[in-house]
Amino acid sequence: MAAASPSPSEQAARVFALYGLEPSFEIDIPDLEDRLRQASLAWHPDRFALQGEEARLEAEDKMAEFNDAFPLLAEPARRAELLLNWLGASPTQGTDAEAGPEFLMQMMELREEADEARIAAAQNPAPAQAFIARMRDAEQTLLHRFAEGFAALSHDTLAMAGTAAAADAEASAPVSALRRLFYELRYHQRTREQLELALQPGTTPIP
Amino acid sequence: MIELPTLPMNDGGDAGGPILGIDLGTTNSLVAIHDAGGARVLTDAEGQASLSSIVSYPSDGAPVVGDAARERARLDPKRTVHSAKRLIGKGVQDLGRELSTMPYRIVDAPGRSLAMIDLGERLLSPAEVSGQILAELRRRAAAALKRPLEEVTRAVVTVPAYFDDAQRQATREAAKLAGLEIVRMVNEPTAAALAYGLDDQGAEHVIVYDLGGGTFDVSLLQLKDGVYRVLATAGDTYLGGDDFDRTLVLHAAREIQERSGKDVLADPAARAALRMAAERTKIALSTAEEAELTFHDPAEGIAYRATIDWRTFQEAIAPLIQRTLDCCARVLADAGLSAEQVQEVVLVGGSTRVPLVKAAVAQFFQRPARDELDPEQVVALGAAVQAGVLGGTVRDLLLLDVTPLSLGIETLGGAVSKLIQRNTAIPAQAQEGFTTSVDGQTAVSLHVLQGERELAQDCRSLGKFVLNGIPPMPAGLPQIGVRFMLDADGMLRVRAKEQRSGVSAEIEIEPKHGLSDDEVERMLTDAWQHAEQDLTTRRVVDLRAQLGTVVAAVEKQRALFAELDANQRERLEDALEEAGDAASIEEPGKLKGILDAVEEASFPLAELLMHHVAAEAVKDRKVTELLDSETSA
Repeated sequence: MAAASPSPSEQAARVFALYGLEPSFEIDIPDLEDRLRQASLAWHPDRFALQGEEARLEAEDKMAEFNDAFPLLAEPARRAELLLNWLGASPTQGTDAEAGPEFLMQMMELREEADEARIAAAQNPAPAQAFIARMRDAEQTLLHRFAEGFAALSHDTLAMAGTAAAADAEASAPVSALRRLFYELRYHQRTREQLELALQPGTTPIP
Repeated sequence: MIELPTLPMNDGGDAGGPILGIDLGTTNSLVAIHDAGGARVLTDAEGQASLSSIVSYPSDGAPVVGDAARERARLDPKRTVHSAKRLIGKGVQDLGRELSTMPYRIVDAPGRSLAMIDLGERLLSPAEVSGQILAELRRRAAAALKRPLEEVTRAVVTVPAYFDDAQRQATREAAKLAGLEIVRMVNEPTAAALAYGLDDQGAEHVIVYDLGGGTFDVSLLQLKDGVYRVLATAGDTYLGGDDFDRTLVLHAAREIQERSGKDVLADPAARAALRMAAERTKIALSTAEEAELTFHDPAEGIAYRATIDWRTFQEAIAPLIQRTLDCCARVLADAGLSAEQVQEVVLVGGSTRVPLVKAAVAQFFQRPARDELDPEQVVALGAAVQAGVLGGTVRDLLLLDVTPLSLGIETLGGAVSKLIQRNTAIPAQAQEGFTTSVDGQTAVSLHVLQGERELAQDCRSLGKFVLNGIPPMPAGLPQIGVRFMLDADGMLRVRAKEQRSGVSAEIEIEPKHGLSDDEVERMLTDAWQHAEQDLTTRRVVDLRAQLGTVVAAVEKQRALFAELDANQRERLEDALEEAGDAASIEEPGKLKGILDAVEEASFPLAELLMHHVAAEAVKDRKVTELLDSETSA
């Protein structure tokens, strides 16, 4: 039998540990980039190009681990998701219904507005651009609230995070609130990205 | 803190011979080396740096590479292959309009989507053509470095950033046919950034705009402390200076048709000639307000002459340039940066010599673009720098690249599930779980795709991977973990394991575009046979040349023949007579015999000559003087 694979909570803990960081929403991007550079100078397979297959493959695995972990830490929305995993409240386990009917209503309205802006953009791109800007602002506010909510979590909640037990426990009220914020954030982000994609000037189709 | 490796790193030793830096271009190719003096391009015996990426296959002899092949394009267009890079790793259906402008015939390999050149008596793969070019560069490098050919076996080869897995695989095969191992494939724009060494100059974000003969790439890099990190890359494998030529060719062909009713494009030789004329006109337009496009075809009674002004040309190519700028906008968007945040713009590729290209790029980024390094050499120089990194001679530099294309698998209904997104740093990996749908099923097939489109049919198929050896279990029970690994060359490896039993599933890859191992083997054998033939031809040529030199030297002293005794004179005359037939002798052994005979028969003559020279030298000189000059010599 193969060993049981680590829980999302444990995996998230490993991502932070790989970069020598404590789990936190506050991450200094230039510092994170410096850490990636250090890791690359140490582990990139180019450093082992002539050291034989085994050394090169080991380096390749290690470098891939650093590369895969980087965007999870660097992009705020993905970092939020990573922290939810760490807290044992993986967003993939929750449902939209959890977000509440009010939220769902609001999201449907946003979607309609985005569609109208997209159709109108052929004549006048201004409303679409204004919508995109508004979404970005809303995303920033949501990320801000997420950061505050995370910083306010109790010692007990944090102490349990990152363990196998974290995944099994029922999410506490503050953690559930964070997860709702994340759903809202993701919805804004997707609506904006879809509109941006539709507006992209003369995107060259990939052969 | 970050865990550090305990393994030994590259030490800069030269145990395995030099590592070449090769730019295998659509129209021109170059080889460079990085040594104590830095990176430099290696030239041929005549001092020429660039090699035309053209190979001609005469029906009665060994393949001809470079300028000599270019000369043959007009005589033998169907057997003279240019732009093989446009075909490599592709099927006929991927080529589209490419087909109509190539003077040689292109067909799919039997039963497969793999474009081959039809020489009549056999099919030639584009990888073989590229292999000939690489072999020529390898010979050139060995000569320039004064190393035996067998010691020159490793190279860093550049490819367009937008080359997909099949194109990279085919490039690797081409190198193998040339006796070269590709230690690393580097994306062309990234190589160019290395050559410029911009990190010393305080630039943080750099754009490399690379418009070559056949492809366009743009990359955005972040530079810090010797680490070149690619943030995003975009491009178009169907866009380049050849398309500029094509606009002129089509323009001229249309006018010729209007005037004479003749379709020049229907005749491969005429098409090749017109293409060359158009290229000359384009080059002239880089520096002049207007240029002539002339084309004569006496056989068809066509004499065409037109003056193309700069403005007409500009209008014709403007949509092509706009497509490159769209790519520039996309890399900026992907990296989340604006044009003002870019500190340097570097131009690469011969087609950036076109003034409109330079102006459009400068306007887009609101700063003059840099072009002080020869845009045709900069990629090869960068490849050499990367070779230095791999060999350990360049220690303070590292290149971190991304994959330009997303990697996914086909799901139910023909949709694509993305496993690795474009612009992900490589090496990268993705895990995905699979299971069976029928009780007792022992194999699962995965269709792996590359590209950005949502439907499998619009993406590039890398092939079907079959996982065999799954232990029979009820449907849905096996858990097959598949690991997709993109290595630093941007190439895919797949590993699979059934989790419940711990059995490693075997993976078979049906090559969709690439060559099978058998085919590579066969080509290698062919190449060896050709090599032997080539070697013989070379030896014959060399021996004839040596013989010519000796005979000429002997003939020059014909005045002294009278001083030889009759016997000696007769032997010498006989040997010379036999040497006269050398031109018709193809066998190296026989030629060597004649050469030896002439040399032996000319000994007495040489002795005689030495006496004369010595007598001349000692005349009017004292013995002591001679001794002095002897010891000081």
